Amino acid sequence: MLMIKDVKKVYLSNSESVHALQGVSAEISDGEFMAFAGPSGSGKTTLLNLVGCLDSISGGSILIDGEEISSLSSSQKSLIRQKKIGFIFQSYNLIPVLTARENVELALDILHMYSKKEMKDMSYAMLAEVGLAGLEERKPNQLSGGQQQRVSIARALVKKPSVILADEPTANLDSVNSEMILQLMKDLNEKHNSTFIFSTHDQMVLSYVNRIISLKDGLIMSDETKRSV
Amino acid sequence: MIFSIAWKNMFRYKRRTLITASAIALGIMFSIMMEGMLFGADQDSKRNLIWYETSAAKIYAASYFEQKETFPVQYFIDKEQRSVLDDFLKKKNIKFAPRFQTYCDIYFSEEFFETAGSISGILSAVDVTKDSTVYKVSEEVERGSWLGDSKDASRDENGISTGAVIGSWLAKDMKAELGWYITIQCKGRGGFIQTMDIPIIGIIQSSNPIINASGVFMDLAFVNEMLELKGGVTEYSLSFGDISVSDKRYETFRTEFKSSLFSSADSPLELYSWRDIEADFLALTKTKSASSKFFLVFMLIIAAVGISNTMLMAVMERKHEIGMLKTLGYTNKFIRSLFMLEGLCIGIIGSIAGLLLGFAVNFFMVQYGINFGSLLEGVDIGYRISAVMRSGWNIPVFFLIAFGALIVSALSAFIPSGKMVRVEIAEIFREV
Repeated sequence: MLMIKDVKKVYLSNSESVHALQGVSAEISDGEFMAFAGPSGSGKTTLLNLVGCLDSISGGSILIDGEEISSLSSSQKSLIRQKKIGFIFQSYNLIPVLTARENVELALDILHMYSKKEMKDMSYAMLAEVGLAGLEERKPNQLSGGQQQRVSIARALVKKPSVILADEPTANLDSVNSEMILQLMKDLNEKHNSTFIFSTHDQMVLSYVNRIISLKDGLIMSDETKRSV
Repeated sequence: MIFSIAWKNMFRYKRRTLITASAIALGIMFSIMMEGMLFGADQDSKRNLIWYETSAAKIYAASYFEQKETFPVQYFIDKEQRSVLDDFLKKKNIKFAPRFQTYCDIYFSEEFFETAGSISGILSAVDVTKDSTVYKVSEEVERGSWLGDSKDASRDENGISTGAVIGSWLAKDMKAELGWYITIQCKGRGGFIQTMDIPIIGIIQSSNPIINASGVFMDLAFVNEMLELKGGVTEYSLSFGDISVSDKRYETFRTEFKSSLFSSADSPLELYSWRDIEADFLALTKTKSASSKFFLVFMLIIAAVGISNTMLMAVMERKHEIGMLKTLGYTNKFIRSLFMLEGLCIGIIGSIAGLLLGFAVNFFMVQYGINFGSLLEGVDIGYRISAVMRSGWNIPVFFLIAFGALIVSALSAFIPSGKMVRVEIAEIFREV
């Protein structure tokens, strides 16, 4: 369960205050497949960053599984990110010198919970799940954009986080690959009951999600839940 | 994982890594070359001082040492003292060579030479039977013969040599040839001025520039008569065998000498090691050593700037990866260590290459050296080296240089990576 209560975010830009979020509240249940939508500057990415403990909150509070994250220290936020949050980026952000498997193992290595063999097995299983069986030892430059994004999804999911945050995950993909990736995430959401939160203005993404929270100028304009997809 | 990423990252931009590692390698190579040359010059100088100038130690009459720079002619080890001293040294199995030394003026006239003129030198009257057991001067005769040799035509009916052996630079300055007569003017015992017309019987080309530039050697027996030394000498030069053990043996001998009758008020003689005699030279080498350290630090700063720049570029290029690692929960310390490790890896490659290059260059410098002959003539650079300047193997310092470069390599990544890891993750991704 993710609780967003009256969240505010103020930036200082050229000594002027920019109110990116002006009091946003929402409740997101476990296993949701939803999106923050809106045009550029609406505050959707800012909200995603705050939920992901990537930025500091100016006001309000965010609770992940009942734990208040706005007041946590930098190292405590690191721990939350390690265990509870998975990230999928628009530009994949894979480490080019590591193989697909090693990139996935990065998310496990930091937990210090698994042996090398366990990490390898888990990475292989996750990569197979995202459709990359047989490509585990390839480096990112030996994979297509869609395959790289699959590695990124595997990396986000392998540690079984509570929430997966995806910032414009299909922005760098063509429509065929975008659809395949979205379907993959949808399948994984249903299979693992992981919460997926997107930040996007892409209509294709919006057509896949079950719920859309629309933002404009840092305020929620609408919160729509689809009956069926 | 951290080692694996750091190692692989190093080969990400091979050319850049190669250039940075090469810069480190060249820095280390030049530092080794410099250190090797200074060390070699230092070692050669010490050897050349002991073999040609100071011997391992000297015994003087009391008060002589304080005025030794002026070669005083009033403090002598007299004939009676010499007899006792000879017995003492023989008993201790110490090789010794009595000498009389003083400044002299050498006059040359148009009768033999192209032009008339005069030049200064240092007259060393040596015991021809003992001198070669302590000094190597007699082995360095380039032309002619050494005093008292079978080829020495100046020997009188008693076998006493009446000629002079002079340094090669001195001979060159006068444009002197063997057999030509020079007039040597110097002070005799007590301070009277004596003038001697003597033939040049030999010319020395040694590896000690002082000997080449101002050395005039004559038979002590002949000089004893001419300068009325009455069997006295100004010094006893001592040898304790191989230079490597010489200092240690000197210490033992010093204790024995102190407890001997020579230290008593009745027979005051003083013992000084070559280090005491050449304290000024040792101070000079220390200063040069300090300046070489400054050079090393300078090289390390250049290496630090080079690696810092490389790491700064790497950090800037990989800021999204840094952001990604932070989103995965990796700490700033881990990310910083990653870059420092990468810097260290570049440093390791550079240091190994630098050591190999440095050792290769130094090997050449030790074997063949650089001939500064024409440059060093007439120039006093402090070091007792002439012509060929050879390096030495100061292995611990060579490795210390490489180790310094390693540390600098690792630390050079500290600032650029530290700056980036402090940026908020959202800020990193916002700057697309």
